[in-house]
Amino acid sequence: MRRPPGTRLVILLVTFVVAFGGITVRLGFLQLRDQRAYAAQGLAQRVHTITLPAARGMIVDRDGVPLAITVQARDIYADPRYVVDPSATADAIAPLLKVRPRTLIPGLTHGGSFAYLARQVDVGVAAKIEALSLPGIVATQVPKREYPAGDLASQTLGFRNMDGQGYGLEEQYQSLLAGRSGQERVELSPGGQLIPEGVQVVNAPVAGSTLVTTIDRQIQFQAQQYLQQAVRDNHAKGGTIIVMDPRTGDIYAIANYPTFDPNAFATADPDTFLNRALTDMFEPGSVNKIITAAAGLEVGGVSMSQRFSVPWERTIGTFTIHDSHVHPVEQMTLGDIITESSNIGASEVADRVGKTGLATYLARFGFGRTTGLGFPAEAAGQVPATPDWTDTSLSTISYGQGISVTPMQMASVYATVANGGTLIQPRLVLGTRDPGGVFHAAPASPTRAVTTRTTADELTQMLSSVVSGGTGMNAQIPGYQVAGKTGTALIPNPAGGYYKNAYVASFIGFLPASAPRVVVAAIIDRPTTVYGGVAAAPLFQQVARYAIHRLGIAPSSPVQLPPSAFHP
Amino acid sequence: MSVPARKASMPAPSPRRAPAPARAPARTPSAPPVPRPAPSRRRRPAFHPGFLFFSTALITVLVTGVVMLNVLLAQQAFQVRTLRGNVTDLRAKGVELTDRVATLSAPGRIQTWANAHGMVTPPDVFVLPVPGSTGGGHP
Repeated sequence: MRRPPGTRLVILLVTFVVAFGGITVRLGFLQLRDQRAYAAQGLAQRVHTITLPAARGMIVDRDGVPLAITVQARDIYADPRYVVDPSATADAIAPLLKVRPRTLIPGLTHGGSFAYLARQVDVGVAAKIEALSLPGIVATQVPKREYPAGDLASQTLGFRNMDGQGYGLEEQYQSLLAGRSGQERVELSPGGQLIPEGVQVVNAPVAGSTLVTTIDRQIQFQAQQYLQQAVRDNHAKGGTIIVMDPRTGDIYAIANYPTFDPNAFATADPDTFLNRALTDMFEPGSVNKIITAAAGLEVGGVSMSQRFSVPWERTIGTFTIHDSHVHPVEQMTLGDIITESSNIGASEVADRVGKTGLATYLARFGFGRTTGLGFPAEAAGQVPATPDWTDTSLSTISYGQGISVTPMQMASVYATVANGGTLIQPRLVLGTRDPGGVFHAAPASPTRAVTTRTTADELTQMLSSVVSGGTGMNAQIPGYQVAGKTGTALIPNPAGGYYKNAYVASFIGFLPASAPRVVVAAIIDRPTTVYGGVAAAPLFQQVARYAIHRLGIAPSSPVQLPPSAFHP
Repeated sequence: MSVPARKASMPAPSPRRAPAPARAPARTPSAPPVPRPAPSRRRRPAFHPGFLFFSTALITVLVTGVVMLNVLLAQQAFQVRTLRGNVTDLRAKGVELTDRVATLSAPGRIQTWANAHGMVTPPDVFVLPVPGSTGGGHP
């Protein structure tokens, strides 16, 4: 019996209605209820977020010459799953990476899917490796910090390693140099091609600012050269040189030896990373007598023509102090005491000043606190509190033993005298240049009056006498009047007392004496020649001569020498 | 206006409603065939040819324009991307050249080069004070 066509049509209709109804319901779920979730899922598969690293700012010298710069480099890595012939691959790559092939084999054969073969390789070397088309060898783009002048000012510039540990200006100004990374959201096809009209949102990175330092590349280089030679000539352990402008506090150079090349910090001795001019303390010795003299003139009632009766040794309690050489009891003016660097004379001046007076002037000259540079790990120095001073403290501190200072603090003392008694906070940064190229000058260094101008002028006279006829004659520069002071300090033994036959030799001075343009501190650690006038004064002279040439310093009229009991 | 009048006077069968040939004779075997009335007026075409041509042209132009615009935008997107890449490359090249200049002009490199070529440091710089000037200083 044949079913009537109408019935079949109805069944077919119902079937279609049910089927389309199901599809419609499903579509409803997909398009209405789950629409957002599926759309988001689809977008997530296509949209990729790429981090755009910010270009790290440069560090430049005062003339704008880059001292630290970030360039493109490549990391070379292997995916061992695709490496066909590890031995042949190693043989092909090793000469380009300047390593032995066997050092690459572990990375090419280990069980994982990723192994670095070399990091921060030059772009040219990476291009040669890529040209070999070796399966499983990949090069990725990475930034690389370069120091074009090698070890020049390396301890001042510092560096940052891959763990984020940093030194020097790189660390101090990290947030300013680093900039802010950006992001790019792009829509890519499954094959990785850009979908041109798809999602494309660029949150551009903000490049780091350029740090303009006060460093003069030429003076810095010469200072390092002279220092290295002086350390070798004097068979010393190391040394430090600081060159600065007393009028502005600008530091032209900080040289330390031994030093290191920040381009290869991974293989350098970590002991050389610190900027010892700022982080290391030493007992200053006789260069500290200038503070005793300043205090004597201002609060001790000492006059320039006043005479002191100075024996060669003096006993205080159970402790005996003495001058560097035996001499009969001599009549000395304050100028003579400084010129001849008499410890006994300095202690007699300190007696006039008293503990409080001397401690006050040590603090006024900046001892016991950092210079304000903000340099990482900068030391504040150690000055015992007045109640802790022993019977001998007043005397020993008067000639620079029993307190610890940094070379920068000591250079700052002489810069203060050179600047007419006004301390100008040293500075290493002239300003910053933003990514748009606009220069933002750093605020002028804070200043404070430490001594009167009259006192500073009298101190300058005494320091000029040191060079013209005292212990610092090796610092003389023909045509220029140099003012400065020698120092020969014992080195304290952590176990107590002082090392025997181990000294820090120093000479700190400025020129021209009547119109100072540059202060140079030369400090040598444990020279065999012992004395500051022998080991450090010639080094000062070399650096100062170069600074004269480099900065175009003209001679100026001489200052009057102080009254002397030896040459009335 | 004439159509309703015709419908009232002569209900002519519509071609769509024409009965099946097999059944019609059974119902009215003797009925004489009704002559199809001649249309009183020529029927107007659904679309004017000009309209068709214009519409087709317009749609073609619009579709082509949209496609071309799309292609243009796509091309420009690629060009912008390429140019961005070029800018990035040139910036990197500029930095690389700056680095190279700084490296080549580094005092240490120049000194090494100069020493290798037999050059020596100059003798001391002598300052010759001008007679009558305030300068000169102490030795």
